[in-house]
Amino acid sequence: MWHWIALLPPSAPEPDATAAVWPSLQRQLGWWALQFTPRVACLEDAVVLEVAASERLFGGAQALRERIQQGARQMALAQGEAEVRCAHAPTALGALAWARAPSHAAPCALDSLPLQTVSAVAQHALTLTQLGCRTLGDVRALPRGGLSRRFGAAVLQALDQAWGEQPEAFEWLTLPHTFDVQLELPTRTDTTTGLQPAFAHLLHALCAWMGGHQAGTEELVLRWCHEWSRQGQARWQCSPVRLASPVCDVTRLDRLVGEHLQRITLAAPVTDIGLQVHTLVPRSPDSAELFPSDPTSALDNPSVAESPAAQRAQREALLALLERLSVRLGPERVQQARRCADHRLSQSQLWVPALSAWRAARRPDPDAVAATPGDIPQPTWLLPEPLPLALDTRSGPREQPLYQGPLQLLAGPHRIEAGWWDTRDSAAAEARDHYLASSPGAGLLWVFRTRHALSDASSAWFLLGFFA
Amino acid sequence: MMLYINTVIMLVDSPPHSSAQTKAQPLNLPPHLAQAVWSGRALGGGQAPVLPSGHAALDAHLPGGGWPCQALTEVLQAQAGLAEWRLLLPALVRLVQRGGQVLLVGAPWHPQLTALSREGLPEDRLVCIDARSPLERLWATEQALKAGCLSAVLAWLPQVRAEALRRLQACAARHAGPVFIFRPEPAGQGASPAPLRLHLGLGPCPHPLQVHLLKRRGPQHVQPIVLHHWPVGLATLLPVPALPVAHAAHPGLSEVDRHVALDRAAAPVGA
Repeated sequence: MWHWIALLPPSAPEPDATAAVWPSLQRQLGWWALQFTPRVACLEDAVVLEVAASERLFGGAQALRERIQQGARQMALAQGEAEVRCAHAPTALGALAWARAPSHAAPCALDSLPLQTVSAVAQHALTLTQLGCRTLGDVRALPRGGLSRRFGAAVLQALDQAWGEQPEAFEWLTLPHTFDVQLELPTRTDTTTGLQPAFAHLLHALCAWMGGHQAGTEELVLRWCHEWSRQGQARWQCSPVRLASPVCDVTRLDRLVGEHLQRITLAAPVTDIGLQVHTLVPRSPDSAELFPSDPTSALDNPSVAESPAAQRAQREALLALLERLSVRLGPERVQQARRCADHRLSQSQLWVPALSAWRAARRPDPDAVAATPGDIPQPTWLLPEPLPLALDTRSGPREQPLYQGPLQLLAGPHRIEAGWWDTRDSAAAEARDHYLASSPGAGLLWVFRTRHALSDASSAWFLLGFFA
Repeated sequence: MMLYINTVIMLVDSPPHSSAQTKAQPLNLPPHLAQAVWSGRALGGGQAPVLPSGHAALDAHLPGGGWPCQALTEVLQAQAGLAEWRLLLPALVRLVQRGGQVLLVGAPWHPQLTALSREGLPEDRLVCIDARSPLERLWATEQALKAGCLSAVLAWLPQVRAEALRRLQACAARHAGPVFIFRPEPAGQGASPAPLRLHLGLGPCPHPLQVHLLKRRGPQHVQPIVLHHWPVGLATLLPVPALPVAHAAHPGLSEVDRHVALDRAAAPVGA
């Protein structure tokens, strides 16, 4: 049956020196097509794939063909190439002939195709035309013996293979295990923004390769090479990009690499760039959903929010956001907190980079702190450092702390004495009496008085937090 | 054929006490027209979903009955970091229960997680973005709005300009959750693209929230709304005038809690 699909990229210019390291669009199409079937081969300037075993998995022959066709076109468009031509036929050579045919109207039979569509015949097209042959059918109608003697056995073999009368043999395409490609830039580039379009080319190839592996990556290495160091391999500069979750999405990778490049300063003009990926993480396939949901509907309808697809979409979107913020601002400035079991407020939470917290959240955390319901009031805002409070000197012997007006103590003292066991850090020891105070200007405050007065401090009263 | 969209402004003289009657007897219109008529006295409602604020007194005056999603809400404060959580926590807890996330951009202080998780906001649902310069704050807020995840964005933008706010408002139209922009009090003098603006202040001790709606879809609102809302465990420690209301707000407090609180309040205070 019609199990062969041919993908014909626009004819590339003759291969130059960089072709050895830089995968062509044909090679990328081949890598990408490996996610549909293991039987992919490069035939002349096209990619042919045999999909008999995969049709049912992808929802029927027609659906699979449309999916492959659409994907291949998107890949070509993203790289600025013209359209990829697709065709299907019972044999690989037949599919290739159809892909090369000038118009796709009325696919009736191979007999009506012009001579140029099969390359073995196209070599002798001039002579055959002078013999009066216009189509492949005319050539097949010639006596086989004479045809073989005059034009060689290759013509007959190609025609027989295209018609399915002789078996075809291919060397199937296999994926390289690691991704390491280099690209020589057309001109020297001295700004990182100029490097981004070149890296985008590499990322497209990377995504084609990862698509074939049915995997994503969590770390990739950007490499570039300065002009004065082209001879030595060791002079390559590297910059790793870490990702929060396995990614196989060109736009997300492109955006992240763009943010990453903005933080890099180049020491000299760049002549070559490269991209490496060493480890792959299997991708969990998206499950099909009957009613696609958007975040807005989750707000109104809790059952939508609980569906696994909505949760995964929410997680993906959040991770992408955290990644972007972390790359631009630095991972230590996008924070999430872990609670620790400690009575001292300053020690009760530990701020960690949000991305590492999300990575760690995949495993159950053994140190997780259960919520401790207590009777101690807890302020909602916490000052990074306790703020010494001034005292009202006019109030006589009684201490009157001030913060935007005289403080009125509403409740307390709540005594916390902890940290004395920490021998390494003497400042960690705390002996404090905490009070709930009301300030005329700043509302409800959480203040404390140190029990052992410091020798150099003018005041023993400190502001610790706000009941905002 | 041409279609015209007509706006008819009708001035109906009616004494203020009869407003309930006019609500009960709407204009004599066919139902499809009655739906399209928006009376100037009524609060505006939109297509956009709202997130109930958790304060019944406030919900009654907010268009749609809650914080608007897909739009900016501007909160003006004399001082940042004094009353935000008490106003917003009930709504944020509701959002987190729906699977949402809370993002803080340029928060004035560190949030204290024990207090927040006691109110129902777990620590893994809170992300603090430490953006310092005005440009960084704007950029981070915009990225959060464009991310397409269900989240409440709380951004402190003391120096934002009107055109940057317009840009944020355009981004917020695609954002699923509510967006709160905290600005200093003098910003209230200028115009703002946010459909809801309010002034948040504190009353005298025990400092109830005073919310003044400066701008909303609907008629102007003059009287400040006073919200008696305190976190769990704090209400019992406050002076007597706040106690009845606070107890009504937190009926879950046990007798033991109250005794503990009263013991504390009776303890010697000061040096």
